This record gives sequence, C-alpha cells and structure tokens, in this order.
Amino acid sequence: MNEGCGQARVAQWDGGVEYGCVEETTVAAPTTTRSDGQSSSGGSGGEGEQHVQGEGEKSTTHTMVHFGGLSRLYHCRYCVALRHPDQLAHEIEVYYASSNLREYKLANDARARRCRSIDSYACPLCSSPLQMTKQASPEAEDATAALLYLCCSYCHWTSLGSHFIGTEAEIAERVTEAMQANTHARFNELLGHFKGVVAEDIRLEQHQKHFIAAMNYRKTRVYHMHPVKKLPSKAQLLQSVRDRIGKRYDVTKGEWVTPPRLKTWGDLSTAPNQPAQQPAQHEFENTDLSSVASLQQRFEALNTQPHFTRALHPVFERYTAKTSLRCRVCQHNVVRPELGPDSSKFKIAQFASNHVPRVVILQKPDLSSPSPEIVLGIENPRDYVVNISFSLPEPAAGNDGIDGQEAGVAAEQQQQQPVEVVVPDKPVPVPQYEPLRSVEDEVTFDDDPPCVVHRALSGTVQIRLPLRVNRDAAGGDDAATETHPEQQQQKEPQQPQQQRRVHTLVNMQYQHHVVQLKARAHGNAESSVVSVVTPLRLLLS
Amino acid sequence: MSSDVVRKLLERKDATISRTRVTTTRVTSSPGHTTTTIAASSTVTLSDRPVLVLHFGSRYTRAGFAGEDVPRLMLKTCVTEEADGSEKWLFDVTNSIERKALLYKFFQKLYNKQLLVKSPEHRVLLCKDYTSQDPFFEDAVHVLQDNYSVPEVMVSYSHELALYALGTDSALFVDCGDRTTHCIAVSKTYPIVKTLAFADKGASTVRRRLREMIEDGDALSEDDVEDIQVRACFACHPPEGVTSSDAPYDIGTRVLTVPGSARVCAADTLFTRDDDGASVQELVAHALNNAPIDDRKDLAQRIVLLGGTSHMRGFGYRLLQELQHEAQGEGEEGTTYGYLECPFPSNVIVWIGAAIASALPNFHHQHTD
Repeated sequence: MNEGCGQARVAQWDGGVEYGCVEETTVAAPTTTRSDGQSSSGGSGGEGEQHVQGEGEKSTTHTMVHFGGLSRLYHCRYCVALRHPDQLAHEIEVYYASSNLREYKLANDARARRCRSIDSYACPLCSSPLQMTKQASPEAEDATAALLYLCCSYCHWTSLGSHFIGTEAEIAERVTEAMQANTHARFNELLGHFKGVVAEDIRLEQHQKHFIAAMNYRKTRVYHMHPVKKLPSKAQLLQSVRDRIGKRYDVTKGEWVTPPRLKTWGDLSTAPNQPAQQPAQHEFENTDLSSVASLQQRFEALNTQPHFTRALHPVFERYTAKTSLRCRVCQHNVVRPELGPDSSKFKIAQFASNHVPRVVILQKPDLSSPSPEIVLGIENPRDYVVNISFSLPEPAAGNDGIDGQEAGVAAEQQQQQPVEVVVPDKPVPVPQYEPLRSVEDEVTFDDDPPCVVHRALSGTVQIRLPLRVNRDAAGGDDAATETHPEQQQQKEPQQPQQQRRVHTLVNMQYQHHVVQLKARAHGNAESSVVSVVTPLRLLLS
Repeated sequence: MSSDVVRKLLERKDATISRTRVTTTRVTSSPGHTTTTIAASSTVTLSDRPVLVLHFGSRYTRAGFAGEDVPRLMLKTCVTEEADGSEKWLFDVTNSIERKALLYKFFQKLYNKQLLVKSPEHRVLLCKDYTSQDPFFEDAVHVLQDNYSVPEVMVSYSHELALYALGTDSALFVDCGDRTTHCIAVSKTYPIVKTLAFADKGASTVRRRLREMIEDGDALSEDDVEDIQVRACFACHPPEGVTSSDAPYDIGTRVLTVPGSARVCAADTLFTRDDDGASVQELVAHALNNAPIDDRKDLAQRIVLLGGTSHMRGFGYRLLQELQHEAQGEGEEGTTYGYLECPFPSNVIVWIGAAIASALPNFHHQHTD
C-alpha cells in the first residue's frame, strides 16, 4: 500500500477524484437530482447530495454540485466556473455522414433530407455503413458495364440477389422507393384530403365574414328614402330562395354557384371487415431465429417493419452532428469545433483539464505506521506559476441557511476528525506547464517548503503531507457497514455516527479555486486498518 | 383529462401565467378532436418549422415531425444511468421531482443526440391515451417549457388523432401496449367513454410468462427476453397437425433453448382472464356491449389494433378467433368481426395521425384564437 507512485497508481486514483462546483442556495429540481446521480457515480464516499460549505464571515449557504471526473467538464472563462455538459446549451454547427466525411450539410439542407445522408447507406442488419462494390462479372469485358452493389464490411450482408444493384443513381432511387413504401402514398392522400377540408373551412369562414360586413354596411344606408322599384312577389321570392338551395354566393363572380362536392369519409376510408392472416406453417417449425428481424432492425425501417430479415432493405445513413457548447449563464461559447467534418480541431476549446490543476493521490498512507503521510501529485496545466496554499477546514459553525441537524452533524464531524493533516505554512509554487522543456532542465525553487518531495517534469510537483491519527475517534467504526456511506446517510439520517467516516482532511486553495481533500476511515483503531481515501472535490468560490 | 394540466398550469407563478394562454376547442369539419394548447406568446417565427410529434409508449417512444410519413425514430422511454448502465423507465417513477429530472435527461438525449434539432424552434404535440398518467404529461409540459424553451406544447388524445391516419370516423380501437391494454370505441369522430375498458397486461406480462417457461429464464436480461418474444413467439397456436419446434437462442455467453410450447403459449396470458385483469377479447366484448346498439355491428367490423404488442405474430388472427369463439358461446353466431384496412404498421398509426393533424394549416390557429 505504501510503495508505488507510478503511472498505474495515478491512473487508478484518477477515477476516484471528483470535481464539482458550488452554487447558490436554490438549485433547479433537475440539477439537484442530477448531482445526486453524479455523486453516486463517484463511488467512494461523498457527503450525500448536498454538501454545505461554511464560508466563515459570509455565512451563506452553498450547494455542492458533484460533477464527476475532470475530463468531462468544461471551463467558462467569462464566468470563471466549471460547467457540466448539462449546464451548457448544445448548438448544432454542421451535419455530416460519419462514413463520408466529404459530405456535410447545414441545418436547412439536413432538414430537407430528414437528417439522412444522400449517398451513404446503412446496413439493414447491423446499421454499420455499407460500401459500394463493383460486381465481379467474368462475362462483361467492359469495366463500365459492371454493376454496383452494397455490402457490409462488418456483418457481410450484401445487396446481391435483391434489386439494390445498378448504378449509383439507380441504387439511390430504389432505396428512396423502399423507404417510402407502404406509407408515403397513403399519407399524402390523407394529408391532401384534410388540407382540402381545412382550406374549404377557411374559405367559408372568410366568405361569412365578408357577407356580414356587407350586411352591416347595407344597414347603414337609408334605401327607403329613395324611390325603389317594386318589391318582388312572395312567389318570386320563394322561387329565388329555392334556386339557391345548395348553392353558395361567390363574391368574385357575383352569382350563386354550386360548390364542388367534397370528398366524404366514404370516399376516403378503407374497407372494413378484413380478416387477419394466420402465420404460415413453416414459421412455427422455423428454428433459425436469425431469419426473423429484431426490434432494432424493424425500427430502422419503420414504414414496413418486416417480420423477416429477408424483407429488410438498406436505408440512408443518419447524419451525425458537430455541436458547439455555450454557457447558459453568460452565453459565451465554451467549445466551438471547426466546421469541416474531417477536422478534429477546435476554434474554441475551454476544457476544464486545461485550466484546473489536476490533483491525484500518488501514495496512500499507512495509518498503522507511527508517522503516516500522504503524497499528492499536482499538475499545473497553465503557462504560469500557480501558488497553492493549504488550510484546515473551518469549523462548520454559523451556517444560517441550513437546518440544525445538518449543521450539528457537520460540527460533530469537525470535532471527531480521526485523521488530521499537518498543513505546510507557506504556499507551494507549482511551475508552469512547458511542453518543450527537457527533462534535464530541473526546476528549482530556492524557497521550496520542506513538504515538496519532488519536482518532476514541467508543471508537476509532488508534495508530502504528514497525517495525525486520532485513535479514539476512529475507534467506533465498523468495517462491515463500510461500503456505501452515501446510502447509509440516505437511509438513516438520524445517526450521526454513520457520518463521521467521511470528513474533510484539508482545503487547498489557489486563485479562485478551493480543492477539498476528503478522507474516509475504515475499520477500527485497534487493528489500525484506517485507510485513506478519496475523493477530491474542487470548489469554486 | 388535460384540464388537469390546465389547472396545474394556472396554479403556477404569475409570471408564467401572463405568458401562457390556454384554450380548448372542438373542430367539426375535421375529425373531432379536443386539444389543449398551452401557448406562450413568443417572438420565434414558427411558420416554417414543423411541429415535433411525440407519442410516449410505456416502452418505446415515437418521435418525428409533422408532415412526414414515418417517425424519425423509436427510442426506449427510459434514461440510462451513466454510472452503472441501468435503465430508469419514465413511467416507473411516481415522484414528480425525480420524474422531471428523468424527463430532462430524456429530452436532452432526444434533442441533442437523436433528432439533432433546436428545441425552441419546434412546437411540440404530445399524444395522450385515456388511460395514461396525467402527472406525467404535466411534468413533461413543465420540463419542455421551463428547461427547453419550447414555445408551445399541445396535448391531444391519441384515439382522436388516429382517425386522421385511418381516414374514417368510426372505429373500435384495441390498444395493446407494453403495460396496459385498453379498448375504446369512436363513433362519428366522438369517443364513447362508456366503452373504455382496460387491463394491466401487455408485452411485459408476456415477457414475465416467458421467463417462467424458459429454463433459467430469471437470469436473462429484459432485452434478451424481449428479443426472444419478438423473434420466437407467436400470439396464436399452430394449425392442426403442426407443432412448434424448440428454437436455439444465442445470448452471447451460451445458447439456450426456447421450448416450442413457450413460443406459442407465452402470449396466452393476454387471452385469458387472470390476476392482471380481463382478457383482450373480453375488453372488446365490453366495448361493443356498451356501444350504441346501432353502431355495434359496424364497430365489430372496424376493429383497429394499436400499440407494439399487437405486432406480435398472429395477434390479429388470435383475437378474431377468440372473439368468434366467445360469440358462439353466447349464441351470437351471426356476429362477424373484422379489422379496418390500414396500410400503416399498428405501432405508428397514432403517430402518423398526429403528424397529419399537426401539419394542417389551421391546427395552430384554431386552438389559440
């Protein structure tokens, strides 16, 4: 346990390091539970979904949002804050087919194609990209006469034997036909009918409005002041009304016209009383289940959803997209890729790992030894020297915003720290990251504090922190119930004894950032199997 | 009904109310449907952007755009946890906060990974069953409006929308989904609520039965059992003189045998009355008995199957068989049962109807004027 601070151990501990950021008291409902999920993903002990950080003089309550590994996070340089992908707005820059990087589309063109490629195809069986291959025909001497067919390099499906053979244009046409089979014609018929009904509705409504307006206008005129011709007789009126039955006054023509007969339900609907087919006899006797399509294969051909794999057809490949990420708070771009699908470069790339020092535990302490110590490795990704200072955590008193129980638990934690860190007095300078510096050029700082073990390559430093073990406080722990401290907290929040297994070892501070190093005690003091611990939490203040 | 959604919305904070308008109207010229619209007055130009149509099934969700003849995709109605890869189904959750969190992740997957569109540009139409959970749709509306800035969310009944896809005004819907099966008759575009009948059985019941019938079935994952059900099982029994054979099924680590009896008998649970509720044919009989007497004969010949479970091989044949058998038992030999002809696959009929309805030019205006 003591030895070994090599690369393997670094990689192993990296998974346990957990980052997060501090937010003001109110957090939206999804965010809160999301943090819950993230904290459980971190694995080794956290303090539950909400961690309360006492700020001393401010006494404001913050909510700790757990983010998980540093590699997934982004850094907004305008907010000076870490951002989880959930906190960023995703904006699609360009659509492209992953098997043909020369083809890319902007939003309007992609929408017109229903987000599917023009000339790349996907396998009906395994959805991997298909390749267009020339059919080897010994009779045809002429190379241009050779037909093309589609084949899957993964599952070896080919379009030989089906009608997806021919020139490129023919294949595209037949695939389009196959993707429109069964639904397209009927859909358009129905849509056309209902559009006609709606158009007629709108026309009648407008006509009625016009008619009412005309009537209102006529009411304002005083016709009886003028000599008018003799009114028609009752019989004439009746006749004119009879003539108008079933007709509509067309304003544009100025006469009564017979409206065109609309399609009725009877014209449109399909035949009732259809029987259902019984599955054929050979289907019951079929033992080769690979001849029957799976759900995923059917969902790729939603218009037909064939039962057998032989009826499946290739489809146009779906587009994927390059997205840029934008901070929801300040609306600045955090990540912006270059447009070309074949480029892996970024115009803007604010990854958190490029900004935040990475802290890894290189060597776990052996708490049974008389002078246990922990070795931390700190890597500075920036191109300037960063001073990192250490401090013991403040007692969590004076938290006005939290309920009493939580504050009490926090205070109890502070009193019963089984392990304490002896922090260095002076800040530790971590040199800048210089990729061009050779190994021989050793970095030396004249005023290195004695805790610095080793300064390796550029930008990294290893420090050793002695630990002071408080045997009495660690004594009550039970190794059997050790594995899931978070679950225990959620189940039994009334028992503060369960909570003191997780406690803050030390706060590391540099610039805006505070890194909290957490410790968790295992076993009891007699056997001294108290092992430290993960996770590191990065707080932004 | 969706009035609950409306009421819930009105209880929200004033700032939200001031920017939402809620109307319920009935259209007479097109197939009658009642749609609740929650419209936010917004400056986004929506004229050229199609409505996003979402039909939540208890296992698979259909998503696509209005005016398109098939959904863009079918995706599981669940969220996969990153930590352990477990699936959390949206309809399993009863706590509103937790459900909103899941919906948030679900829509994130839908918009950013699958559909690849911007959420503020598309209005959303949610298709809702008579038996589906109201709080679920309330939460979905809240999440779409608050977290995804969707300008307008509409909720409409799936059976009324399905009429658009069928091109008819009367039908007897048998919706056999993953969790529940229900049955409702619609006559002259009006749903007859009295005919509504449902049972807690569906594909999940068949899967449970299948696990019992396969040796060491409890060790199988849910996806494997679903795959066996889709590829090996039948809803009907084989004809006289034919026996279904045992089928080998490869689950990666080993090859297990699906017994021939399990292939044809697992779906019997749908057609027998048991602890989960009535059989499907009893639901249909209940609906027909409660329909107006003049419509019964017509409706019996206009059965429409909806939902993914009805896609099971031989489901339609078995249902007709059972219905005829039941009619003979009751001395009603003259009754004939039959299906309405429809070219669309049964699990996307509702979605296609919604895609037609929401592509009509007055679909938006008639609900917000």
